[in-house]
Amino acid sequence: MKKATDREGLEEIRRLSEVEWRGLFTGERPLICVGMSTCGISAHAQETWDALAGELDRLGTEARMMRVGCLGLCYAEPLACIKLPGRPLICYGRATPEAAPGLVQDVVGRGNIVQDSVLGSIALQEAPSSVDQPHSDDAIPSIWDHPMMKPQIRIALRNCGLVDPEDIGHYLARGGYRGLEKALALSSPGVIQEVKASGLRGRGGAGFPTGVKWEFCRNAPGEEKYLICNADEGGPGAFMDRAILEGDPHSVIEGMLIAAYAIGATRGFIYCRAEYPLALKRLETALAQAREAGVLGGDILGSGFDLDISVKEGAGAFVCGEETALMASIEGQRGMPRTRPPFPANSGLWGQPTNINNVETLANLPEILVRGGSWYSAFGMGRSRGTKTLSLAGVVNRTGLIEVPMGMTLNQIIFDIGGGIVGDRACKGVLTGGPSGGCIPGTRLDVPVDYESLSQMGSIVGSGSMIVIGEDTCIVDLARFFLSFVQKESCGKCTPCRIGTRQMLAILERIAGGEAELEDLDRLERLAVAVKDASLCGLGATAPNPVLTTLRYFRQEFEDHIQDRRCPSLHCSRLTSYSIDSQRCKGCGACAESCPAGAIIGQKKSPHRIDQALCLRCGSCLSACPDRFKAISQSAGQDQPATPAQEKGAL
Amino acid sequence: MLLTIDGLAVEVEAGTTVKEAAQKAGVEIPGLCDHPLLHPHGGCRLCLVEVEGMRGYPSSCTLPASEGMAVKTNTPALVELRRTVLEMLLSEHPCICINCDRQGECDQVRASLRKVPRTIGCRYCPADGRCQLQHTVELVGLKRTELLPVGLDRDLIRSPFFDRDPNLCILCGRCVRVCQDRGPAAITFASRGFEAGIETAFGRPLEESGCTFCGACVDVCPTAALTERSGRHGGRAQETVVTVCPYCSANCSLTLEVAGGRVLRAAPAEDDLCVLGRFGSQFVHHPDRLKRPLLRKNGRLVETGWEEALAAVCRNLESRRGMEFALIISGVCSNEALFLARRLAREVMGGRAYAPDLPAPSAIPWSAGFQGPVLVLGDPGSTNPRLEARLLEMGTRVTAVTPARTRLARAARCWLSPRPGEEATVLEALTRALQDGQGAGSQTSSGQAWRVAEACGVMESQFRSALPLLQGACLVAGPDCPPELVQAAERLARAAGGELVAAGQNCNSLGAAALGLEPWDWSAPSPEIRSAYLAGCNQAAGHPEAAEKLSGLDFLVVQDLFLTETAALADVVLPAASFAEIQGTVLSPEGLLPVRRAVAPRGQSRPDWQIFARLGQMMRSSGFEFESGEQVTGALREELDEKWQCWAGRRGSGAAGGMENSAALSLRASSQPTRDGRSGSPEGGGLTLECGPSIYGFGGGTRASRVPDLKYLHDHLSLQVHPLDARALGLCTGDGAILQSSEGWLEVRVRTTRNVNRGTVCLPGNRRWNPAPDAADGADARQGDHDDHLPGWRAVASGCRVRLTPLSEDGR
Repeated sequence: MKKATDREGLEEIRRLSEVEWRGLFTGERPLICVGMSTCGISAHAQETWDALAGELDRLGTEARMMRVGCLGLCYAEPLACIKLPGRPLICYGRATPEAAPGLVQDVVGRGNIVQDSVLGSIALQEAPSSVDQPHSDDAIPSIWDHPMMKPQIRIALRNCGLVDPEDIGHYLARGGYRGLEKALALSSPGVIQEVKASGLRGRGGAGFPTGVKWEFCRNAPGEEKYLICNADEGGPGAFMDRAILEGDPHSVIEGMLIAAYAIGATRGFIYCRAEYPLALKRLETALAQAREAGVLGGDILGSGFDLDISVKEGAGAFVCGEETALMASIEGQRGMPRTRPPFPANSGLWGQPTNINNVETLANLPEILVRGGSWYSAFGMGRSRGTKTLSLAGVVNRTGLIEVPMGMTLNQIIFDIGGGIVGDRACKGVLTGGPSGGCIPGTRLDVPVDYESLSQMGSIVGSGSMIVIGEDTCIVDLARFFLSFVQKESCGKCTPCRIGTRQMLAILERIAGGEAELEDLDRLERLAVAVKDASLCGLGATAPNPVLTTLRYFRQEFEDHIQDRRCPSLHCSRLTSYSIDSQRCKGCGACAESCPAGAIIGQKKSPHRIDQALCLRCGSCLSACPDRFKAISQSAGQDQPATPAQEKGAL
Repeated sequence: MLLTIDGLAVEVEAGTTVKEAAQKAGVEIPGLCDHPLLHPHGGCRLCLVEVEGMRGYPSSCTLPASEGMAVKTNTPALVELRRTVLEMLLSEHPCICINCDRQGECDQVRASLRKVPRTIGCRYCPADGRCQLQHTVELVGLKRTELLPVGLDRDLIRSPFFDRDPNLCILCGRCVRVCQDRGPAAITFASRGFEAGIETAFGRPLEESGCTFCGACVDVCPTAALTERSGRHGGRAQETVVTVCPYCSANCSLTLEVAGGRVLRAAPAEDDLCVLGRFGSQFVHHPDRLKRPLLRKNGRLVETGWEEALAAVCRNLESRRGMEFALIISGVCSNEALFLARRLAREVMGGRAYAPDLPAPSAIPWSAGFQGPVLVLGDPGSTNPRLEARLLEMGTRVTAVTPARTRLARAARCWLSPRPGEEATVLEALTRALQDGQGAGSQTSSGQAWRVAEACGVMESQFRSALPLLQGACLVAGPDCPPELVQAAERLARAAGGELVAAGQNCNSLGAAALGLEPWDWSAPSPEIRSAYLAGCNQAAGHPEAAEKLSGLDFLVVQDLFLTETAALADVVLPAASFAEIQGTVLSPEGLLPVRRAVAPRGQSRPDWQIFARLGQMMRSSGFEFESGEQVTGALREELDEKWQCWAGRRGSGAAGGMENSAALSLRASSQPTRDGRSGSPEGGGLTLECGPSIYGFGGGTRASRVPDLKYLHDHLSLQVHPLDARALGLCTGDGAILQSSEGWLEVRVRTTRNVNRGTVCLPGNRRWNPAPDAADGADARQGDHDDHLPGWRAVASGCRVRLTPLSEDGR
């Protein structure tokens, strides 16, 4: 590839790329794409790839194979898209390694369509984005009409799952780096104006208006300015940034170029956690390609604007997602936050004005520049404009990565996109924003997902993780899980975060263990408020959110644990008990044999009984009882005394 | 700028924090991580305030004050927050007394627990009474806590001089910050979550982590998480005495804390202290202190009374008047002692008074106000840590010439690193380059100046970049610089139009120079002497030729604190009082400083000046009739002032004065290290030993070796070996080895470094070697009497040949 030294040069490269891109779809060879992001690979996409290649080999068919990113339909992974000459690209779900040879035989060999596993057709060459709502005239419905896809507006995820992330040509062919060209044609304030007009707010969690943040940094005096891309996505259940980095790294690089141009930065850093090896590899590849193409480095496209970007790997600390800790980490210090002021915009990395944006924020920028701020701000509601990527996880039927306009209600997200709760059960609640967020009860799913509404509910949009919980999740355990995560990740610098969370955890453990008193709830609340108000950084200030929201919406369940010593979800083992139905028990002795505590008493062939004083509540009797008897049951509450009838029966 | 704190208007300068502004307004905001000497941290979250128009509760120690700010420090919300945060801190603190319902009873019940190393309650904590956590609890008004104790039971971490009790640590980070500010950065925060704590890198012992044991971390610790062991159970100080540190020539001021007639500990008075100042005073109460005079009877030293001892000295000295008598006294002694010693030597005995530790005669005293560029030779850190610290502050003005990668070399603007032993040649090349005005290309007798430097291992670019930094430079040479290097520095100073600062070895070396004592050097051809009087100098240690000469004298008097190697050779040994037991003065670069008496002299020991005065009187001379130290000070003040004026006149005159030795030596560019020629007995084979100075074995180690932890650190210094030599021997850093000379052997740890040349090994300090099993016993007789502190050890001098054998797995 010839390096582009001006816009015409880039146009030339793009023209060649487009020819190559079209060639993928018009050629005589079949095209097979496999979703090979970390999510796909963990669903055995690599084995699927090998099986597909092996089968093609066996059939002697020459096909073109392409690794693409994550389309977001994680529930149906691994995904394989197959295009035969003259036919549309059809996406098949659950293309497991076992199913792969059959798929090749059926689709490639016989030219059939395996209707059962079809998710939809993708009209790639014509449709640059889901926004344009393309439809296929084929008998196969378009993928964009798939129930999980239909309500989505994919802007940040526009290329994810559709292009080869390791080929800058694909990105260019789909209009990539046009946003950069547009930005370079504008002045820096002009770019900032456009982004302000779009209403884009920080997608990393805080939701600070991006344009305003840039303006601070642009106006700050300093010899050198830095731009940092925060790709230290560490919360449990969050994988938006990873999907973008693995599926479309160039959108982030282009976003960084635009942001750096706007604030006047000449050096960029991508701080990415080392636990994302694939993302790091694809980033490095993309950076090298961008340098080669001339869109990164010195005098970009002849504009006189310089930027180079280096990747800095994080070492696995959640707190390094906090911007001041992140900067300390890049400097080689221990990742510990510091107080503000001074704000990074004035004194950040090595004391220079620094701007930090999240991956998703940056990935949105090229489209905002190309299509205009007002186009972007047409999506969304209230003060939350545009779209938000969400990782939909938990007990929904269709888990995956989605991007919806802000303001969509939780109901729509869970039931329309997510396809409802597994087993058609009720939704107990949704945990939004990961460990820093809160739990919204199932009764309030009418809440729109935007910064203000969720904040009113005591939760946050955060980075966009959305964990749906069902009736069998214990709320105390949920709060404990998230609190223990933040507790372990506290950097130890400030007292409330280090000790306060530990004290809160101790109380939750007492509640789960049936040792708490009702006053402990007040104590828990008092500690939570103090931790929230007194902590130094965002990690501590949001750490009590899961506890505070669950206390707010599920107080009864806490009280059940404390007053009645019962866990309604049968999760806190100390607050449940096992019993044997004497009518059903045939005295086979399997339970007694499995009991590690010797708590089950009874003669062979006569009903057995559990000595509650000895029972450890390990549940091994429950699994030992043969299915044909089903005599043992677990129930909420401690130490249910056996009824006299049962006593008699046992004797 | 004007702001209000709780309604009180206060005017402060820009850059002030809100907490400082509040203090100015007379409002005390609690806080534990903040310290006036350290940059703000904002971690304890006790100093939270409310500011009108600002969201949340910012920490006042990190919040810069701004114009028109309205700060509230005491709203109900803040009080509640602060109490909860403090409760959290206390819930982690072991057995806090605040929530104990039996407060006060424990004094009777558990009084014996004071000696238990683990703190189980405030009353038995070494920080009781000065603990800032206690103070904060009072300030916040917390009466009881309802949080359950959650502290982890962590092990006490012992290190030289002080212990770290992680159970008492509140993670305020003061120690981490002070350690970073001072340079070593030996400790940092480690781990996350509740296990977070303060640790060294990889949890290695402090000795291996770059710690210099300055004790600053102990001084800033708000609780007893860091406490020094010395005086830990000695109760609180009844009295404090501000005096001068008795070790190096930095003359730092010390506060001695005294209780029950003993020095409990030394704390910094105004300066920062180094390990010697902070922890080195323990020798004062060492049991080996000489308590009575000793007299040699039938070949053995026996205790005697002052009258008999002094009479013996008088009798012997009176018959030995004349030039064959020498009095050698070091700058360890006060001006008063030096003054009377000189009078005794010159006027009574008709001999001369010498000092072994004088700075170069042409040098002027160091001045902190020096503004120009600085060139440093050697490693001041090994002889004068506070001078090193002050030079480190000058950072960008400093050029360092040293083969070793010292702290100063790393911080300097320019670092010339010749091979060991070639420093003087590099200085000559610099001199020539400056003199000729042709820069690095100047011709010398052996080629262009930069080529000469390059042959010594200095890169041309380094050499060239150093030249513009030398105009009017102040050249600093510590006592670790050999005389030829000091002479080269003198010539360079003259060529550069600058001045030479040669720091003396001891706290009053400058006084000795000012009082006109003559330099003494055992290796130089010395005047023929038959009898000698040595005060405050252990010349036999580390100078085999000195030991030989001293044992051959007709009559030898030694006056010291301990039965040193030299004292063991004496005919009469007189016990002297230590610095903490005398009243007097020392001469510092800033002028005359008072040494104040903190405790009574040990046993029958007497201040040096009193001994000289008494001897003078007994020898029926006038001029020794002094009743007190002050009278002596009065008598010598004029002379010192005169000398001071002379130095002051020379300062900044742009030329190093002193002897006009204009004949520049011809440049010698050899690829061979110059010191290689100095080899000992060849039968040792293999390597040449060099003994560099070490701060842990200060001077001859007379005092430092009596401080157990200093001795421990000194005895565990690694042997520096060139990496290629080490590889040839199959050794790596950290390996054990046996170092053998013809005189004795020593077990050492090896550290590979290019700070030494191939074929040379460097052992810092002044180690006591185990006698070689086959060494002749005759040497023992020369050592004379030993106390228990000095078993049959050998001193092995710099320059002798040694053999290095790796220690096998099983130990030998």
